[in-house]
Amino acid sequence: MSLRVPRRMAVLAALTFVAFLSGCQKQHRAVTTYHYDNLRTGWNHEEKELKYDKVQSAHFGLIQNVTLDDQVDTQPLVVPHVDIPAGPSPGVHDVVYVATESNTIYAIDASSGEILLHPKFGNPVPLPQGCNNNGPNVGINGTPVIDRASNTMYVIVYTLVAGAPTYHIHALDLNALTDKVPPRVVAASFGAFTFQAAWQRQRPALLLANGNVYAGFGSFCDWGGTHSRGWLLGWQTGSLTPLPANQLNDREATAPNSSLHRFLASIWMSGYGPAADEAGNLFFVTGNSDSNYNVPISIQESVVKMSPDLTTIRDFFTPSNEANLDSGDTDYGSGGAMLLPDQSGSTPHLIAAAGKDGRMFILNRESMGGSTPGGPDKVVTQANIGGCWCGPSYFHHKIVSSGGSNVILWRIQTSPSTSLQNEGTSEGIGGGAQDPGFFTTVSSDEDDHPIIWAVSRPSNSSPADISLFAFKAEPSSSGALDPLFQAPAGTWPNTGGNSNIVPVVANGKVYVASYKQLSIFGMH
Amino acid sequence: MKKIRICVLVLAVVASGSRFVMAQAPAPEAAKKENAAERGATREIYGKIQSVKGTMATLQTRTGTLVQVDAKPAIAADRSVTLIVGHAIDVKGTLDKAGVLHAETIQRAKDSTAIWPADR
Repeated sequence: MSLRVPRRMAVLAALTFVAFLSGCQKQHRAVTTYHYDNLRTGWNHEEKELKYDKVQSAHFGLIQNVTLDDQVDTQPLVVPHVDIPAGPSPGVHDVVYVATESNTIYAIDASSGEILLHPKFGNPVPLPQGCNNNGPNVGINGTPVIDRASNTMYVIVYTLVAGAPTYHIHALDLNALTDKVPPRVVAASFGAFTFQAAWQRQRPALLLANGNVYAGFGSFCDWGGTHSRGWLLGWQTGSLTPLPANQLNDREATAPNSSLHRFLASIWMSGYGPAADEAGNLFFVTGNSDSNYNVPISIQESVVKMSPDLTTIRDFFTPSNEANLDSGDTDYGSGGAMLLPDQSGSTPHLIAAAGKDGRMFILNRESMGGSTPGGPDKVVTQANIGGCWCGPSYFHHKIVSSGGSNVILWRIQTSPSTSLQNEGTSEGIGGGAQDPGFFTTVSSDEDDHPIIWAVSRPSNSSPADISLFAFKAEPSSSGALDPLFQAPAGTWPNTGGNSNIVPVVANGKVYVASYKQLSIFGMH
Repeated sequence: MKKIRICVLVLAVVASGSRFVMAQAPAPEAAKKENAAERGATREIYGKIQSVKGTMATLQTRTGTLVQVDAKPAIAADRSVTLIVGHAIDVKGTLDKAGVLHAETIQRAKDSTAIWPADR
């Protein structure tokens, strides 16, 4: 009996097995929401390719710049295996979605950078109210969110309708980027107060939770007197039916603390998204107000825990110097609130949130601390991180802060009580031309090769360059977070509004969206 | 007292790169003519708030020049931030004959003077 056929078959089987294994190793991580999850950890622990040696090597770098039509204030989202039905290259692609201030949503091949689709959802609003804390247009300002189960992207666009600035929420088919149901005009009221789109900025990322989509609103340039107040609104997924209740953060009739008669208590968080815990409770941070602090009627300068139906404030924390934060325009709500995955010890459910004054408070989600006039604040612990127009990240029982111009790595000690231990600090990443702080994400292969990614704000107005940084997230013996990579990653010429760029790591690539550009980094 | 006035006048001449009226010192003749031509025009200036009295603020521009800002019109139009001493602001408005800038909008500016756009 000849052995030739079985040997061939064996070789064929071996090759098939290798091909199978190779296929198994292909990464298909999706990024469907701001900072990767509803806790807002910013941690992708399924990154198989970007390890220390590769990121440090000459083979890692910019592989593609994609030209876009306007400034990008949103975080890119990534979905593998999307069947694109039209455009220049119909077929299945791994897609990165980018929404611009011109109300264009780009579907871009995640590897080649080819633009697959780019529908525009109406003309944006030019310099709303004349405010220049943004680019020349405001269109899509808050990061969209994707529901993979229904293959839907939810996004809020800002357009002029018969000359009036108007928000619409869209539910888009993820393949074709077309409306699945008619878009709905954003409208709301609370008692005598009515949502006024001309004065409200939709800056925070959208949140998908509890079968609803939620969006926070603040102001343009702190303007608007009585017109502009902090809102949290919600819609049912699918139908876009508004929730029966809305959260209005300031319902006072008078604001006796200034001549501006201004209320605000905005939700803006430099673009960070409201978070949700496993029970569906919603968490966000509010900014300053000129009305009297009076929970729950006016809840400025606070971390707020809200019921999913938006009817009840379940808990809150307000720093004891709330009045000073208000009068000094020192918003606590310049930063976002991150929920930590469960920790060991007696306080397993924690929140981290920092604001303009640079204090990062660690709160107990089950008993957040309320308000303690005169102090001391009833918090789990706190640390100074530098001025924070920013938001934290998390990995492996560690918090990554990004106040000032340095990344700081904090180990969460849970015994004998919960405390923070400074484990390492990066070199400064620049960005002195704008407000302090920046945004990070973390990639790792489960426990291995944790890398902190950060994008700097510009250091000058011209050229207003921004850069991508990568740091080894295991500090050296001297406590330094060693740099692995640094490269130019775009520009941000409209310096009146901060760049709040979140680097997105997925499937061996890093995506940085800036002014009219998406930069794709990866292995050459 | 006279010596102090002369010193202030000299400083105003040195700062003649600026096109704004010194709040507490008489401007030289050339600057007066230039300012007269610009009065009534819409202006945009950046500076840091040096003092606040009611709805009037004194703004120190990037060149050190002091400009009186009347915030009342911006406040009435709901287009003013809170005026806080030490904070950087961007004021758009109209300059009157007395050199007072009547603000139409007042918004927060970044602290770094290096990135302030040119005054106009």
